[in-house]
This record gives sequence, structure tokens and C-alpha cells, in this order.
Amino acid sequence: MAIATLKPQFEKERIVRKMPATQTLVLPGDEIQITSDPTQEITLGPNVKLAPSTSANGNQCNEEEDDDDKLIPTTAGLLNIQQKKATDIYFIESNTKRYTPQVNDLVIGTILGGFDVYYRVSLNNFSPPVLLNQFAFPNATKKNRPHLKNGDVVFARVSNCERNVDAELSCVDPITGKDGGFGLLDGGILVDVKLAYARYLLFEPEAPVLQALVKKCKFETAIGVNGKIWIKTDDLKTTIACVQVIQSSQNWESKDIKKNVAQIFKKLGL
Amino acid sequence: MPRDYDISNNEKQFVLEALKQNLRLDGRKLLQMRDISIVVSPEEYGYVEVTMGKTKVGCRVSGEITKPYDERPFEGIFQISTEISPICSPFFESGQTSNSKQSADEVLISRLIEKAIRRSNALDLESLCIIAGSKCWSIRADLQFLNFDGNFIDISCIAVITALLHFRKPDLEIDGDQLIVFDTNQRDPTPLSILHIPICVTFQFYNPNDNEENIKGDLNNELILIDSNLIEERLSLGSMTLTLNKNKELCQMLKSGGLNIDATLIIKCCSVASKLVDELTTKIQKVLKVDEEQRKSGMESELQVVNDR
Repeated sequence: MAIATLKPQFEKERIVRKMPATQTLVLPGDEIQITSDPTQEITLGPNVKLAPSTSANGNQCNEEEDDDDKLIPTTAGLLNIQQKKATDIYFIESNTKRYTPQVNDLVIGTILGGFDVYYRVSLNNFSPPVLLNQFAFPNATKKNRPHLKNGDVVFARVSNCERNVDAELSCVDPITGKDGGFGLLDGGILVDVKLAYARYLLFEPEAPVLQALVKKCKFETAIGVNGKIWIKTDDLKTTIACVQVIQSSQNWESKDIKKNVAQIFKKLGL
Repeated sequence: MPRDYDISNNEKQFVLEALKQNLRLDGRKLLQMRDISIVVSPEEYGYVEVTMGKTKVGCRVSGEITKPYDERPFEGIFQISTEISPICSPFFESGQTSNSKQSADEVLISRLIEKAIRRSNALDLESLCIIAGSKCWSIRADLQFLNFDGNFIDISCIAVITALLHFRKPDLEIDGDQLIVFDTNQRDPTPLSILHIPICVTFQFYNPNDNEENIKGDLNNELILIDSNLIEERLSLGSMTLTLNKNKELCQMLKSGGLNIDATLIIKCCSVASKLVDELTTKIQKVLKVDEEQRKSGMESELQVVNDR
């Protein structure tokens, strides 16, 4: 195949967010210009697809220079190109409300029920549930299974998602085999945010909103890229303040963050 | 059967615990409404959009001349159409799903609005009669549910009544057998005759203790709150809708099942509702007054242009 150098790669975790080198708005129907060096390997991230060449007649274009191959966006959004040592990553950042599972995403789900050795977990309201195997917990054996009730909240990783099969979650860290922070989230509250914002909070190493919150109070948090943020503090009022900060900060400008956080805490008498 | 919202135990516990301490997730007190915004269309008569928090409802009132019902020759016709589409939330399904729970919610909302506005005679139907037995106005209010975050009933009631107050029907003249309908440019259109402004207030009830206590005990310390958002509405153990007007007349009251509530608590609810109704009525009237003044000043400047010419 002429596309040997283009490995589709959907592992978002590998994308370490830095300031993107370039950002342009693309729409479905556009063609993405490959700006990297032709010898450079390219990695396709979320929402970028390789369109099959239209003029080529089957196998004949083998070994030829892939002039007819083009990258197309599958959604409207901002095109990000990140230059790494080994590869250039092309992906499109766009905002949606509904989450579709993708392997290695960190998600927060609500247990809806169970059957056999599986729990049914909801990642989105009104979306088909995904599965969580009872053995996908650290040190789980037939005798030592987790006991989760309906309505409990779990933090997990999407371990498997293929077409026509229910997606599966796992609460084991694939590298260490230990819990790695996954599992039941006790207490606290869930906040729904837009998907792009959840990704931003998770991947941005020093998200200014969280930095501002850290200065105000002590809290535990887990961020799921399915647009759910779990937050827990010692005190009810503080939690409410945190919920309000996270929810309303989606529409803040970065320069107002400190002022707005202070305002919300002050309003609640903290 | 449509799916319900998946609400986790964490949210449930947190919201109820917060309510016990007179706190809500959006920072309101229990008996405090969300900020309401009423926007009337500046271009035409009879279109209103009401927003409360994230809940949004639009209402259009339109009128046409038809034949009255045979059994009521002296009255006009007034219809309210309330079909909730999945636009506002996938919780509501489109089409006819007659034996589902969702449909019950939807029927409840439409019946309530019907009861609160139409059956309380807010719109004087006799004034809609043009020629007895042969011609009358048929007024229709179409509600559009645009986004759902709880409390559809109160908001749609405000939308319908504001749209009715805002609506103007073309002026008419009867000349013998002939009916002359004047263009809005020829003669100012006339408002509908609204007899009173009914406003719904929905209360949600929660029991801070267990349910057993509510049936047997006599503590009566149920929590009441108004203008519930989505989670609060899903978690409530019972609700009651009161419809009042500014004259402190109770037009309608509905409490369909749920928690047992003491009579004294209902009286308390009434007095709370009555205060709110006063506030909301003033707000609606203010919005309409501002709109009228803007129209008038717009008209004057238009006439000024004609004069200048």
C-alpha cells in the first residue's frame, strides 16, 4: 500500500499537549495540506482520515508516490499538527456533547446493572451502555470480586472498542497491573461539561482553572473525557463552589479566572 | 419504553444532603427561582421566548377567522398545542408512544397548561365571537420546547400567557353581511381580552428522613423547593402545581400522588406562590410595556420620515 508510512493511530493519551504548532479551521469537504517534510512519518489522530485516491486503478499505484492520497477531516474543528521527534501528529480538535468510546480514553461511568460477569455502565445519558468485566479490577478473582451497586460511579479506561461490539472498560492500569487510581469513586459529585473542555482539563498540565481552585480549597478530582468530572471536598459548600467554578469556567476568558473564582467563593460565604 | 436519565448515587446523596442544609447546586436557596428572561418578538405580535436557567420555551400565538362550534355559537375557539419533541432532550420521544412513562409526563404538562390557562378563563372566549353562529376568532398557541432543564410547566405557562398578552388581532368591521378585515397598517390591531394572568408555581417535595416517617410520623418537616432543575426534578418524591393570579385567586391545584403533605404546608406553599406570582406578573407587564413603548417610538420615527417627505 502506498500509505505504509501513514499509521492510523487513535491513542489520544500519547498526544502530549503542548502549544500546538499550527491551528487552522477545517470543515468536512476540505483537504488537509500535509505541511511536514515528505520523508517524515505522519500519525493520524482523532477525526482525520485518509481518503482513498480517486484516480488510481487498484494495485497499480503501489510503490508510486502517493500523490492522489489526501487527508480529509471527518468533522469541523481546529486542525492541530504536533511535531514530535519520530512523527508528526495530525488531529482535529472539535467540541461535541455526545461521547463515543475510544480505546485508552479515561472515562467516568455510572453502573446501571449487571449480568453474568459484567456490569453495564452508562457513559452518557441516552447512549447504549458499555461493559465492565468484574475481573477487570486489580487482584479480582472468582472469590474476590468487586461489589458495585447500581448507581455507583467508576473511573475506568476504555480497554476495547470495536464496531458492532459493546465497548469494554477496565479498571486496571495496563502497565503496572495495579489499580492506578481507577475504580469506585465514593462520595463527591459529578459535573457535566462539554467534551472538549473535559479533554482540556485532563491534558493541559497546568489548567489555570484547576490551579486557581487549588489555591482556594483542598479537593479530589477525576476527569473523564466523556464530559464528566468527579469532584470531592471535605465540605458541602466548598463542593458546590467547585461545581459552579467548573461549570461556569467553560465560558470564561483566561484573564477573568482568578476574579471569577474568588467571586463564586465569596458569594457562598467561603 | 424510553430511557430515563442515569443519575448516580453520588449525585443523589449530594443533592439531598445539600437540600437538607438549604443549599442547591446552582447556589440558590430552596424557595428561590432561577433568573428568568422573557423576550418578546420586536417584529411581530405574539411570539415570546422564556428562558430560566437552561430551560427554554418559545410560544407563538396566531389567530384566524373560522366558524364557531355548533354547541357554542357565541364563543370563539382557543387551542393550546403542546408537543414536546426530542429537540429539548432525548428524554422526550417524538411520535405516539401511548403507554410509556414519557408520554405520561408529556400529557401531564399539556393537561396542566390547558387547565391553568384555558379552563381558568384567562382568555375571554365570548369576546372572540364576531357574528354569532357563523364567524369567530380561533386563537391558537403553539408551544415549542427548546431545551430541558426541569420545570417545564411553570415556564410554558408564563410563555403562553405572555404571548397571549402580546398578541394583536387585526381590527374588524361588520358592514351588513360583509366582514371587513383591516390591514395592520390601516388600523391598529387590537389586543385580546385577557381577564386575568394565571401563573403556575410547581413545588417539589423531599423527605429528609425515610419514607416510613412520612406515612406514620407527625414531624411534617418535608423540604419544599420551587423551580427545580433536572436532577432535583428526577429525585423529588412528589410535586404540586398551584396556579394563582395577582388577585390571590387559586385557579388550579394539582398534586398527583407522591409524598403525603400536611394541609398547613400547602397553605404555606400558597402564600409563597402568591408572592412569586406578584413578582412574575409585574415582570411580564414590564416586558410588555417596554415592548409597546419601543414599537410606539419606532412608529413615530416612521411617521416623522413620512412627514419630512
